Amino acid sequence: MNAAILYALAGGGLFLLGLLGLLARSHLFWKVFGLNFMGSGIFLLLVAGAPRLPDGGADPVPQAMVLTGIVVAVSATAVALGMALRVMSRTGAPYLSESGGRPDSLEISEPEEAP
Amino acid sequence: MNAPELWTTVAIVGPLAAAVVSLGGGRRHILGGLALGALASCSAAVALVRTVFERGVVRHHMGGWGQPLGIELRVDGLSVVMLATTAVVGTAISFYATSYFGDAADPRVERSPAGRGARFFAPLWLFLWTALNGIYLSADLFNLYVTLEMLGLSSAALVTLAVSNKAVEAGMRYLLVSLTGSLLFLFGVALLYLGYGTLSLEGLGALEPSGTPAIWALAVMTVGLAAKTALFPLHAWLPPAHAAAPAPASALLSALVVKASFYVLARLWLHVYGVGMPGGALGRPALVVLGVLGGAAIIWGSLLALRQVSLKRLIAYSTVAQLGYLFIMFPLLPPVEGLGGGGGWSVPAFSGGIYHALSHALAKGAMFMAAGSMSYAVADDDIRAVSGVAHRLPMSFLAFGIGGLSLAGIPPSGGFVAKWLLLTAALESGRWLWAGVIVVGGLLTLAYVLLVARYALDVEREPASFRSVPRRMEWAALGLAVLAVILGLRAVEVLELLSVGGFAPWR
Amino acid sequence: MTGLAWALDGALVLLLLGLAARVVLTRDLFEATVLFIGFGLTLSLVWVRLGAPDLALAEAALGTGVTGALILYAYRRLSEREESWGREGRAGARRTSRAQPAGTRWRRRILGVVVGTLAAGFAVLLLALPGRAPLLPSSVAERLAETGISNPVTGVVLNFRAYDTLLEVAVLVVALVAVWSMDRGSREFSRLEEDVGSDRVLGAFTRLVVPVVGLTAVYLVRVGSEAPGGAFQAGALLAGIGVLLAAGGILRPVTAEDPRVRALAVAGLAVVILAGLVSQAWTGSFLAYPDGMAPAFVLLMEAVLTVSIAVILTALFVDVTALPESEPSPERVDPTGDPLGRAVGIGGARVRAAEEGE
Repeated sequence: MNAAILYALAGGGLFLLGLLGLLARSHLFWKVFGLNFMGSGIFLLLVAGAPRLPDGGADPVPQAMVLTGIVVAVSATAVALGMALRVMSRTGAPYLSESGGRPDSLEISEPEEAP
Repeated sequence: MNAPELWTTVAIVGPLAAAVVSLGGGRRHILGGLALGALASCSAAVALVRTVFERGVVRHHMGGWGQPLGIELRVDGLSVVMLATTAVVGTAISFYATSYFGDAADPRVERSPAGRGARFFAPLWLFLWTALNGIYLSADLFNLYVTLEMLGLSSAALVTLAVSNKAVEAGMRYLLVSLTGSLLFLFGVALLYLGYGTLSLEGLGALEPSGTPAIWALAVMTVGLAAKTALFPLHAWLPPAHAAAPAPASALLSALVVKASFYVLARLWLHVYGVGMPGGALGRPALVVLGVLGGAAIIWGSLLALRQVSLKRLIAYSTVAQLGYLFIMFPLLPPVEGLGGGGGWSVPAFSGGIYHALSHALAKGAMFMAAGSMSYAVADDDIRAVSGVAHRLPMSFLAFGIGGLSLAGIPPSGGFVAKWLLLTAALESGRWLWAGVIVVGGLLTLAYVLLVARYALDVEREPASFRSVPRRMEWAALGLAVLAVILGLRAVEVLELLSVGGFAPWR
Repeated sequence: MTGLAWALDGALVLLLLGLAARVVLTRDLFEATVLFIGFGLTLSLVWVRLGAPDLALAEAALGTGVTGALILYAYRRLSEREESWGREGRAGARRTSRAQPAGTRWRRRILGVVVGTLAAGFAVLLLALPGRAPLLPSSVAERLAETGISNPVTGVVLNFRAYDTLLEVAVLVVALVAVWSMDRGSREFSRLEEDVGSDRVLGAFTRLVVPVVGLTAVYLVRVGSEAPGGAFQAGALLAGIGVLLAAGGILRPVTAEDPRVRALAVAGLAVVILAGLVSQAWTGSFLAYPDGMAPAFVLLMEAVLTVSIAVILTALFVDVTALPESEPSPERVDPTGDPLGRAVGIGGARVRAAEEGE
């Protein structure tokens, strides 16, 4: 067992921590944190878990994937933050309202806004 | 220079370049971009359909490096059929959108909410189109992840183009679901790379993934993709998002976007893993799980559609239900011993499922566009408010009706062919329960379509106010609806095309 | 492995997981944001430890720098709003997490247990992974020499898997367009300048930092083919300067209104597309560079991409937080009374009114 396995396991743990944060916290900013941790966890898993090359060097493919992944994560975070701020600006708080996420109901739904 | 490879490039780079053009700032940039995107997608679709028909599977090694080193694009019957449908529906929606959003170049409009839609719908949609084409042509795991993210970001932004609290919240929720789904997918990709050392779908298939880590990778990816496809019970995000978005966006979300994640799921299950096939991973029970969730989606979605008062919500719940049909195909796939089928899947089951995806794309696109026109005319989304609108907007009503009847499986239509194939598959293999679900679903669909029709045809009542609707919008909707019917009439050719590439796992 | 190495790795892992756990669990948004930045820096160290210097650079510049700055600025906008509305968040606007009913707490505990079990299961899973023949990386090693690029990561990013890079740049542009398409205030100039104002310390800092960082960025791009570096890292650095300059009022306006900004933002994408098409015309495959010309193509693309990425990130920073000034309301009906909206003929604001009727 070497350090790589330790880091790979840490990556998995990080992913799960992020998932926990995403699901358990209702504040939108914390959901963004959660998503970021999930991403970082996968990146760590990928780079640490990949065996070294026969010549001793590090595998460049996961590194390329993570590089791309970091850029995509930044893009996603920017959009998510922008939207979260708009939700706050419109509804007054950075949370998704219950009615939006209300489980489907078989009762006849009323029109939600008077025309 | 090889022609087929050129066309795969055109399919992806065309809409991408068009998106860049549409950011130019004037109305002619917007129109030019939309036209370029449609032209590129349609011409590539036509060319690739022909090539695949005549020559079989087409491959393009991006960067000149073959797998496992580079990224490979692979076009077979399934890819090209999805590509073509996307091209057709996309063109119609682009056409519709040019009227819907009005004139962005008017400086008085620029700062208003209307201006935002006019300026940014086209670029966002064109990026989305790029992503769709990219997904259908890609045969690389990580490439699929990046494209899926592109799809998710542009889709969520399209929802929030609508100026309402509901749209912003629905868009946020949609974005969160989409990002989570993509990350779950990426987790699976990571596990697969660590386990098998390749990112190529064909390469992975050849290695016959099985065993605990591979199964877990598939499971995690499936959960992520199922969330993006709004499979029951992960569907709650869809109705608010598709209902609150501007009408052209609703159309493309329901018709096109949800099909992409389904496509990736189907590729993984069927071509890479070969679930339920001899020599493939897992077994029939896994397929049954998907089927059960699909059946639940059909029943639950249809029942809820019947209870909606908002027209767009009704159509959105209908999408949830219709997506269930796609998953019902899975348990019907494995051939039953003694009934032949060689080493491959039940042809009617596979064809029926995919056919359903195609005809739903056409029909749902038509329905959302028609609903958009009708709501626009009476300035209200309540289905009771569209009372009496049928005789004022016959084309839109007809589009809605034909689309709805196609979904319900009434001949002649694509939806009828799809259900016919699925029923054949079910009855042939003695799987009566699934046949029952398919029939019941069809009846429920008919019910909610007739519900809307009943109000619209009510000649006693006049709509409270009425605005005339641009002809273009009506024609776009009706055009797609007619195509949904034609899809039913030309089934033979389409099915033949679909068979290119075979009905067996890639080994 | 030596004891010291073990201690170091163990400490890094503990720090990583500990910071992440604290961020997830704390109720103080400011604390979470700061710790998140700390987490990012720790992760950069981990990348160095794992032999991935390109990633360390990217993580520090993009993952921590840009993301952290975005969250910090968004946090500021959030607390500002809450204070101006006199909400419960006023007592330390940092306390933006509300108390949960008991049922939710139990649900969360169960969720925690489930996730913990998954973590254990995952550990088992990881150890069970088949040792595989590293197909892909050995091919990389073999064929890297053909590309004329000696940094293997750059080789993968800009040559073997250049198509992914094209899409990744497209994703950045999509994010920018998405943010531009959102509800915003009507001001034309950068709000950033107004937020920071002119400040002598900031001015001095800027004069010091801009040339140094600028040079570093140029260096990273130039050297990216042989050593750790590259367009994304350099672009992020330049974006940092960009934000400083925008804050000081020197660079303005970096918004969608300015056609130069739009042009620069898409320039990188356009250049990669062109490079790909030219290659296809020459060799038959998209982004398959003609023989021996790979380094030239790569350098050109990286140079333009760097500028593009810098512009995109700066614009993102400026616009993510550009909120409309109005008061919130649970059911906010948009200005259908807006005469400009009514003046628009078909479509536009009138259709918005129709959508409100859902």
